Amino acid sequence: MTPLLSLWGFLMLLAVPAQSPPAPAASAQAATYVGQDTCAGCHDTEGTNIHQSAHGKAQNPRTPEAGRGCESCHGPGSAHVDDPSKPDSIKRFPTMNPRDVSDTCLACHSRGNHTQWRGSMHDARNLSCATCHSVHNPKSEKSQLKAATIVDTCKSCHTVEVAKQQRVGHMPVREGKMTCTSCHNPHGTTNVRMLRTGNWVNETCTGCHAEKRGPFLWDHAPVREACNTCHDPHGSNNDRMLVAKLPVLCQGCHIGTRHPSTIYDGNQLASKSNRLIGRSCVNCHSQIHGSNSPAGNTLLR
Amino acid sequence: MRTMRLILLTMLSLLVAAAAASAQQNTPPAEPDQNTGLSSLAGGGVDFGFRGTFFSDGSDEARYQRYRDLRNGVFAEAFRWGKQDDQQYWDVHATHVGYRDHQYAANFNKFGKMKASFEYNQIPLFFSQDTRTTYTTTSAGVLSLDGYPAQIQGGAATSAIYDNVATAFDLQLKRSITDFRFLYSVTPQLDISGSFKNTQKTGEQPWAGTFGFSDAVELAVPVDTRTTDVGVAAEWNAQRGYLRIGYDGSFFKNNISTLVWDNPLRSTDAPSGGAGPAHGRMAIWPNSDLNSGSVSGLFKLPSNSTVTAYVSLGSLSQDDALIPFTINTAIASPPLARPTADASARITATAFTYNVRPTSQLWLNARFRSYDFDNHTQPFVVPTTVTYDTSLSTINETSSPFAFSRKTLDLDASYTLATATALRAAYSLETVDETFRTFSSTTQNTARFSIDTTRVQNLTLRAVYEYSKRTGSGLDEQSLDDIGEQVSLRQFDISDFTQNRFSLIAVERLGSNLSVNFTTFVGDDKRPNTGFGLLTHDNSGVSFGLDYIPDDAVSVGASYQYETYSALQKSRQANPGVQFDDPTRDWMTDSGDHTHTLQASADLMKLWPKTDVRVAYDFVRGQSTYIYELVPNTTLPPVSQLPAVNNKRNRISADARYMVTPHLGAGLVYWFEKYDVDDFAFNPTTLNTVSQPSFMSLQYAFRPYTANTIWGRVTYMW
Repeated sequence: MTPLLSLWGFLMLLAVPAQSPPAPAASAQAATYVGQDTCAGCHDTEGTNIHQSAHGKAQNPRTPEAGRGCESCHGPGSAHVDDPSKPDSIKRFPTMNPRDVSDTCLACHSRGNHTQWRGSMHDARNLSCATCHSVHNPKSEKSQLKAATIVDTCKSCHTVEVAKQQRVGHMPVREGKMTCTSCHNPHGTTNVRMLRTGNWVNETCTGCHAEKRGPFLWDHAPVREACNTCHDPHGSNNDRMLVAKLPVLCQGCHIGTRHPSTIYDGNQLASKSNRLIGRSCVNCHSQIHGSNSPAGNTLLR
Repeated sequence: MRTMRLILLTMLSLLVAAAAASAQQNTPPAEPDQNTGLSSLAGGGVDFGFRGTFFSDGSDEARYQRYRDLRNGVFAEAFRWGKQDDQQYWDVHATHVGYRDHQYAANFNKFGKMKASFEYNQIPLFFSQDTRTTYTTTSAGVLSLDGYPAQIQGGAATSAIYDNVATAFDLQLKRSITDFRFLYSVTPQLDISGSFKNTQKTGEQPWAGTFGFSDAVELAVPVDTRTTDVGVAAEWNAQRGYLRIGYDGSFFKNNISTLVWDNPLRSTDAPSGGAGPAHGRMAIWPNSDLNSGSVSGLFKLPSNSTVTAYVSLGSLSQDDALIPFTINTAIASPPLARPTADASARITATAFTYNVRPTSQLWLNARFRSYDFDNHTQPFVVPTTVTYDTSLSTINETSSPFAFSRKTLDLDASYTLATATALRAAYSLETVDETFRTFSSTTQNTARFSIDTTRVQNLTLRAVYEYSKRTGSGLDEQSLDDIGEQVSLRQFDISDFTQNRFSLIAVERLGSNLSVNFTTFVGDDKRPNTGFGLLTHDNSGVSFGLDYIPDDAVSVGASYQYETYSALQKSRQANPGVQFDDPTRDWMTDSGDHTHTLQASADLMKLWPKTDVRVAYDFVRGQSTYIYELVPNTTLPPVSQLPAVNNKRNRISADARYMVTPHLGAGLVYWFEKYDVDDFAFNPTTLNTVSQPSFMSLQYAFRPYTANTIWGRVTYMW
């Protein structure tokens, strides 16, 4: 991996002397502001609709409306007024570099949920704000999304995760009680996997499942490390969203002797072994997430 | 190797395709249509009417309503009322009014000055309506068997009696969440925000107590907990950056901290090594407090670069009183090493990011992140314990307060080839130092290469290849030997591995109305240094779909996905002694999981005058297999393979509404849902009695269902 590190370091060094930001198009440099009444003269629908959105509330000094209106985002419009057919005459977001689009939005959306956008996973993958949001033509009731719902928005790329919601073991996403952003902040976070709450996977999970956070007198190591060692939070074909069925999952780590090392096959099924049927290992080891009983060393109490 | 070549070839092809396509771009974007989607901000409406749900015989009604309440009766849904002007905006929402899954929300926004929101959300979790038990709750956390253990101990009855006297009950939980948030803008630069959330969880869930290998007891553990979360923050934002200081607290309170349950086979306590106790007792979820303070900031530097920093300091603590080792009065409970849990951890998290765009084409990012879970809990020394409340056992065991420290460095470089096409190379280094684990630390190196291109000849294409290698150090095989495990066992969450992953998303717009999409992914995972445990696991999948939106009136979409997963793990069936070292007793589990998912929908809005019609179909079929394999020279008895586990769900929904006037509509909604399940462990024919050969069951089984729900609906809008 040393060559990769070296290459990256070299690129960073290259970056340091470059002090000036990308120059705007020549025509944009020469352009002047014309006022949004001029814009609305042609773009009347956008001019009307923007007032129904948060962007159009001049009472809020942070909105484009309180600044230069349309030109707060699209830049000075005189060159565009002079020659609307000229592609570089004004900022047209669908044709811009995604990171330039985001820079425009981040000029105002630089607080709250958006502070970690730069360098986030979505930024790294060349998504822009306009990949998911539409200022003039949103389909969602909230957040001005291009799709009707948050799940539909995420589904355009994360098909695997969204499809898992249809499985038998799932969180109440398809019932409308949660959505992707209940756990994730797609604008970037300080946590891993763009998780919204806390600083590690477990802190997100125990944000709702607080009873499992302990610390316990007797901890179970993989539980303490990461809930997703055993659970798939997007859904699974197993009870309790487990990544595999018990006892197979437990036998991935517990093989020792006697019952953990035993093959629980069709013969055990026929004899209705309590280590196979029902909830299997947790028929006895119910304190699988940790025990606070002095006699809980094997998570039975 | 062949997979690697294929992946590299595919990446290369994508690069060429993207470069060629980008040379032909600059297609003018489609003009946006006229729907702002904001009409719901003003006015209001409500749906009300009557709903009926009909099940076929033997249906698992609870599973159909697992997180929702679809009982028969009148309903009021989708109430919303809002108003906005240039100064402020407010709305209120209510849905599923009066049912177990009801939800109420209100939002207020005084533009530029204050935002506030309130939500009450109740989420049911309906496990089963067919569960049966003989236990009754005599007081909070105490489950009793009404005199039957004495009969059984006295020989007047056998445990079979429990099947005769068990009564059916609904096994369900509900989570009631009250959430209030506000943000006040003191100045255009300074915001103060606060939040208060109260989550109450009540009901019962499946649990277990055991008195020995052949005397396990499935219980419905009572749940009565409350979690209170509070947060306050101040955020200052200016042209050059921002600074945020915040506090978050979370306080978990369990109103039932101890579970006591009767032994179904005995009514009197027996001395150590005897026939067992009259009761069992365990501590359940302890109260805990989590407090954290954080500071974060962003500073804009020259050269289109930014630095962000985040530091969080937290403490997690729980100090519940410890219960004695046993409730068995015939056994002198060993002394406790300390009276309370005295468990705590310091949590320190940091994140620092440097991001720079020296040119409009080049994007570089460096991020360092750390998470330190420093467990301060003193090891709990247990020379002698009481197992199953039955026997004194000398174990000389000490608890292991696990701690870990995780540090991650991510370096990313992205180069924009053309307006919407970027190539990215990334490297991540993650080290995790751990205590009380087989490895004292692990190091994971990851390289990623991706290409992302959008709107090139109407093609959106995203592909990423990732290679990871994790290596452990400080191996302590003695720790495995101490707990009676094979020393070549490697626990899969920390074992050495090499992983390859590739995924591709392609979306092509065919004209302005039709788009098709294709996704594929493949991954393999090898664990070469694992003797026992998880050896390999691989997954792959493919999906394709289409969306056809010819105009505002018609929207049609369909998608299909297939995903497969396989894993191989190794074990050895052995009793202590010579069997432990006998390789002829080795066996493997070859696990497979295959899932097909199909979703299709059509929205026909005003295609016919005043009429909206929505239809949808969802299908999912999953099959899991667990195949046991023995070594060729095995000395184990022949294996009888387990049957596959099958889940299948079909769902059809249709929703039609006719607007009689602009304010009044009438409609019908119909849902058909059919679920088939065949799970050997939860099969109702297996769990056909409360009194099983080696445990008392709740008969919590997985059953199929066929449900039809019909809603007669009137919509009024204003």
